[in-house]
Amino acid sequence: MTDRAPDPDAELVIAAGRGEAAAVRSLVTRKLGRILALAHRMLGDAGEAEDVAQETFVKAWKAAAHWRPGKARFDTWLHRVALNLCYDRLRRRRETPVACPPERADDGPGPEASLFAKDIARRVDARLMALPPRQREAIVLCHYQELGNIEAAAAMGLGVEALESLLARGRRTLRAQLADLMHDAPVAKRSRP
Amino acid sequence: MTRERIAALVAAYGADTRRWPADEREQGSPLAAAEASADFASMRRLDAILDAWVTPAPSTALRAAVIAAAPRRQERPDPLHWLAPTLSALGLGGACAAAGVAAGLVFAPLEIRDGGPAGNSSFAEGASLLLGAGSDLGEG
Repeated sequence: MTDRAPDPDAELVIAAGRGEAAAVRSLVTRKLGRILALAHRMLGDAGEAEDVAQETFVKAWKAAAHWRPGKARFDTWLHRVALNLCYDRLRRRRETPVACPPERADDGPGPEASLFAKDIARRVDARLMALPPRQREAIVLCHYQELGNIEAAAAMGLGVEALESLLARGRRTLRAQLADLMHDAPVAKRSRP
Repeated sequence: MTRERIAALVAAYGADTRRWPADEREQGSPLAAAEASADFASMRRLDAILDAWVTPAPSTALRAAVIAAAPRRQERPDPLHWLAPTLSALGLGGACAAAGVAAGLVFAPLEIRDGGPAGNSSFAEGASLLLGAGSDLGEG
């Protein structure tokens, strides 16, 4: 995907900026789930993810009133806003030592070596959160959010080459740390939208 | 595309070519990727493991809160909205309009007689025809 294609959200954003209720609802349907998932995977906390999603949309509504298509894609811009809010929270976490750090232990495979999706998800969550933030961000944007490489690089303020380097390092680390799951992981093709 | 580039794409974007950069996606079939990259099989498994982490969908409450914060179209009231029903009720709307037209036709020639702007002469001529006022209009 390139940035040259017309922005599929532009008309909706402008209509939402005029206060058209139908456009607002459509935009929320299209974007809220994506932004919530992004925040959840960046922060590893459902409550904080909801706060970030809400704050992101408050900024989006303000920007929509003056939105001019052609500069940045709305989806890329929205991701950038959400990422900045996530980084603000991650920074605050570092600056505010907590007595009890949130429980995010990856104890490896349990005694039953469970392969239930829930267990795998918990381990992926823990391992992804343990990655350096920029590697995590690159994987979240490209793998989960399915942004194109140009959009992901733009959202991160990087060149495509630097993005690929972060992706490769992050994926290599994850593969090593989830090695015990690798043999049994399903490889069925998934469908993408 | 070189084997090295295919291997680099598998390492960065994974084994699903649909995640590869658009301009390189066409050139790299999964078969070619599998042949070019020793990591292909393990990266394919890693993709499947990553996909197992599904996050919850937005709650109804969150959706409602986000929509509530959106701008709303302000219906601007007509400054004379209070007048319309009154006039309508009294049946004065048409009468006032007719009176306005008549007043315009009567007073415009008077203005011209008093030295009104020359640009209105054509209007004055039209008005004189309508009123049958003769040719003295506009002669001062």
